Amino acid sequence: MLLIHPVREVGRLLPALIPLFFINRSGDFGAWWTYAGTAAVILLGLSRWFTTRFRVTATQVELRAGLIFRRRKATPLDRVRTIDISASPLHRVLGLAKVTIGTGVSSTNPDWLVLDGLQAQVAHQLRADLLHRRSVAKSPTAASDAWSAPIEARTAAEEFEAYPESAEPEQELYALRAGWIRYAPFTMSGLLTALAIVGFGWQILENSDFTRQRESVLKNIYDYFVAADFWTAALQIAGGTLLVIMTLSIAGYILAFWQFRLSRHSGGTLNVTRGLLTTRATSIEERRLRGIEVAQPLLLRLAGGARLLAVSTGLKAGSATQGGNLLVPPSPYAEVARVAGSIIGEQSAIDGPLIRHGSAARRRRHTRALVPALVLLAGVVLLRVQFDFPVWPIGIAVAFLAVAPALAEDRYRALGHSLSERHLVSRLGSLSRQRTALRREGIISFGIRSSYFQRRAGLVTLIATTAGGRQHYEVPDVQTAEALRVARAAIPNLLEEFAVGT
Amino acid sequence: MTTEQPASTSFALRAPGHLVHRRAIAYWTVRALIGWLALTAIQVFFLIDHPDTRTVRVILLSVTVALALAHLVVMPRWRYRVHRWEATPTAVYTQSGWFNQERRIAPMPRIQTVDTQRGPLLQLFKLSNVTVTTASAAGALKIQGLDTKTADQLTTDLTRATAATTGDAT
Repeated sequence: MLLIHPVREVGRLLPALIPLFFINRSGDFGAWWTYAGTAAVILLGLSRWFTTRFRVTATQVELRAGLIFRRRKATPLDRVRTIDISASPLHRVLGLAKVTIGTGVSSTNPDWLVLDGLQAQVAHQLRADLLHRRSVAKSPTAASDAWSAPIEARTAAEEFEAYPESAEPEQELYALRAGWIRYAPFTMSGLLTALAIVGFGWQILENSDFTRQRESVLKNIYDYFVAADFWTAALQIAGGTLLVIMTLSIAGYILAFWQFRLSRHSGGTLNVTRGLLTTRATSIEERRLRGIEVAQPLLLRLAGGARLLAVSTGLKAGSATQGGNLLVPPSPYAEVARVAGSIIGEQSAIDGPLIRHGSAARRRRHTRALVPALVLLAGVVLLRVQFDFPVWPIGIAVAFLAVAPALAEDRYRALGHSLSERHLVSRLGSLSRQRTALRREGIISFGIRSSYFQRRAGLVTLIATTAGGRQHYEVPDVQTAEALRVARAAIPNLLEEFAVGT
Repeated sequence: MTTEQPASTSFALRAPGHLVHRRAIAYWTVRALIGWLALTAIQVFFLIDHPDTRTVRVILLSVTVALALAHLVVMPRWRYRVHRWEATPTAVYTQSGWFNQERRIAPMPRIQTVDTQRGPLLQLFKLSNVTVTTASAAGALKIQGLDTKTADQLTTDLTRATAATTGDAT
């Protein structure tokens, strides 16, 4: 539709336009620039809409855009890994959606095809078509080689033959329950937003005219904090910040995970639908799935919850609310384990016992925690003695030192690995505990890395690389013989020809 | 719920069969030297510019020079003893590093491309770097410091071997 592109262009440029409005005061000349700029932006958006066309042929999806700078993107149909449909509030008001087609070899350098401003019905049918790849003969219009008219003019009936309502059953794997919102404050997702707001707000307070000249609530608040006693002010600010972070986390949770639903389609895909204002529907082909990861940030683990992430090619492996690889939002651990088991079909990979890494690994965890803490303490004390630094950094360094042994022990307890029938399982981490189950057939190569100190302790870090997710998954601090045993069992006949004595 | 490590067999991995070229020692030395020279130059500049903190800066400078000398003498020779490679019809096996070492093994059906790099410094020493990529962005195997003839031969052999295998290698 006409409106989507220009409006979204203005939205994208808003951070740049705001300062323009501020320097408006310097004279009429400034105002002229602002209006000219906005008009140019709208024209740019229009030209992009006018020239964007796409088509689906028997073998490819192609996108053509641009007037002066022509862009042409094409993707073979069998390289399509994931289809993501999202609709912001603006889209929904206009009855539109945005389709993002994920392909590409690795998810750190993905190849996206974005079709913005499709009619919602067309978008969903395009998704069904691409994913399930019905035979071309059924939908002759879809196989035509003619370029589409500009996106607005087409209707659903012209472009695709209406498929019969899918009779394939969908098996619901997970549905978010309202009570699980109690895990929202433990995700710390509000922290960064809160810090950004506080920082930005403080800048405005300090630099704008409000605090200097006009009597207002902001000025009174500013004066209060500047004049108040340090500890009271600090406590009040800390308490206020915590409250704000919790509220933001809860709000973010609701916005991102409203009516979260994970289901398995018998066509071989996992479908995730979620979102309150911006709705998203992501489809992940199961045969592109290389494994899953049960992630527990520290606070979430203490609260008894967890998240589930997919290790898949063609997905943005980003933060959980942005990336498409989130399968289960923060929920009770038992629930996440159940869903994970039913996705990979092997419950023992999720719940089964793990092989511990031994006392050498434990010693390493402790030295790696204690030595930096001691060095930090020594450095801070030295600074105080020589250069008369304040005392409070010493307090912080001592706090780190006090926490270090507990952290090291927790990190050691998390270490473990096992090899189940179809998966390589590895668990590690304390501040962010992850249990990853990687499909054995999905492991591309093995690496065995050892630092100088690891070699002296007889330990190595086994690295399994795969085409999805983070691309490499580690089993840290295992004994060399055990690492080799796991590697040989996971990929048979790979290491044998390099054995000692050959 | 944990179990103890199972009794392991006496399997051990040997090192890969081929060394890289001897000229790689000089190449690594020169490459590190450039970095150290830059650091020393900055320190000398500050030394001349700030005569009041002379003693501290002289001490820092001498420490830097000592570290640089130690690094330049030890690192390239250690690297030369560690860096090895081997390519068989079924797999590519590399070993690299010096202080921290890493061994990588990739099966031939999973290899996607073979790249040869020859930057200006490498060309000066008539060496090449060969990078073998797989479908995983983190799974590339790198062989540094091969002489040009060996690198080209290896690239040809690997390209032929990967063309022979089918599948999309993911």
